[in-house]
Amino acid sequence: MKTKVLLWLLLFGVLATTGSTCINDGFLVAVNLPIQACFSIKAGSNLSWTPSDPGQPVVIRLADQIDASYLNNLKNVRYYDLKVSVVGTYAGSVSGIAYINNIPLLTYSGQWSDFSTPQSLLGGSTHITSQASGVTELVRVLNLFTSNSAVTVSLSSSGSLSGQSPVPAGLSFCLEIFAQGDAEVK
Amino acid sequence: MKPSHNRMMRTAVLAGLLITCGFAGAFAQTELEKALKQYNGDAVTGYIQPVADLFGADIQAGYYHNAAIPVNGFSLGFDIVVMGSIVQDAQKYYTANTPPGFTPATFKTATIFGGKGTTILNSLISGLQYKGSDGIFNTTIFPLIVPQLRIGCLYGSDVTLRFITLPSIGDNKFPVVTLWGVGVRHNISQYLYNSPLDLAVGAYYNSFKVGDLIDFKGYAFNAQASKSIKILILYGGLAYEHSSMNLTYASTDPTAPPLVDMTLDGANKFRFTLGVGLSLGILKVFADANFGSVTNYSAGIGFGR
Repeated sequence: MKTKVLLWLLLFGVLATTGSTCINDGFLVAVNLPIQACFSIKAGSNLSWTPSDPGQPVVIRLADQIDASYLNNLKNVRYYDLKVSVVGTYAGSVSGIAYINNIPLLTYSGQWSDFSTPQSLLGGSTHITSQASGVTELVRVLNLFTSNSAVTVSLSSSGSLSGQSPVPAGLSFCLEIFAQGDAEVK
Repeated sequence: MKPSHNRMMRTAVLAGLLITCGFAGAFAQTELEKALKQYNGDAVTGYIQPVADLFGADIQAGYYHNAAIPVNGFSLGFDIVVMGSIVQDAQKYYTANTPPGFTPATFKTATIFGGKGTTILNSLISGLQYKGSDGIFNTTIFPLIVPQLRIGCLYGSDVTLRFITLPSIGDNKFPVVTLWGVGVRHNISQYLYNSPLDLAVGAYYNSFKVGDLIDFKGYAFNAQASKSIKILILYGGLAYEHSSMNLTYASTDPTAPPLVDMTLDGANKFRFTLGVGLSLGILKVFADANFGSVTNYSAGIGFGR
């Protein structure tokens, strides 16, 4: 009798633990890596802003954007969209440049209200145009992140408003970079 | 019941309790749960739907292996049941949506049972890429194991209780699972004159929690029949069943609302069971095949009457 019970305990143990053998070793999880910053536009009579204004640049540590367990296991990082949007209401137009590490990433231009709905590269927006030098810098930084978890990016913007004056309070300009990394789970 | 049988029953039940309790434990978030959080509610559906189908079929399996229920008298049985659902090729890939505006709008990539995730390039804007996660499980059968206790009989009815909690497996890749279920059966043959088969009907409810994010519920109603020929028991049945998997988590996908709270139904609605068992005194051995939208097999060993 004891033998039978022991045999069944053994069988149970085997069945309960062999599940681990069917899990893929080294599978890749596509990890979201959002990089986003908003820049306040100062209220008043000045209709323009620059990367040297207070609150700029916004420095983002990429490691803070993903689960810590994925750090040091990233194999590839890529971006798949850029978006620009605004916060607040302004009667007039806006145009300017968004920077990554002080290199122009994209230019934007249009009515302020156009940007109340995020304008995206993927959406084929006519209000934003990516800049090759900035895209190259973005790709460089993302690739660097696979080997250096301390990587940071600096986002900033310049721009000018045309129309309503003085500039009302509560306006912001936002830049979003949508990226993904492949984290290997061993 | 003979004294030796009493000892055997006590030992078996104690072993079952020790097993089920011994695996209880708390774990940090597993790789499966962290991987799911990368998906928004729309995207996760295709990735994890096969789990809803296969686990949904697993949790309803193995409840009975004989339709003979004494009309009255104490009866106690303890079973250890192993069940597994077949992973079909079609469950290894699904058509996923790319982010809004991406061209193409969809692409074929791995489910949780698939191989490598697909990388897709935007055909209109060079340099933009998107990728699905790799599959996590590499298996042709998705197994589950559960001990169950059967207690009867009152007016030809018995009750089956099952419970198990299993530890995280694969170096914390798959979370702790906890399953409990209850079933009630009633002898129908007692109302029929000289029935050549033992007949019964049953109703079952199951709850199955996988880590902190996934919660299964399921119920089934079935009609059971069996025929004993010396030590051989042939049994089978027809069942209507329903299972659903609830997913609740905060997604990290920046392109969609963060809260994911959704319910996926399991594929199996009807099940046709064919099985065979051996009754070796107090020891029972049984195996059956279950046919429906999901093909499932279960087998086990039982102690008791």
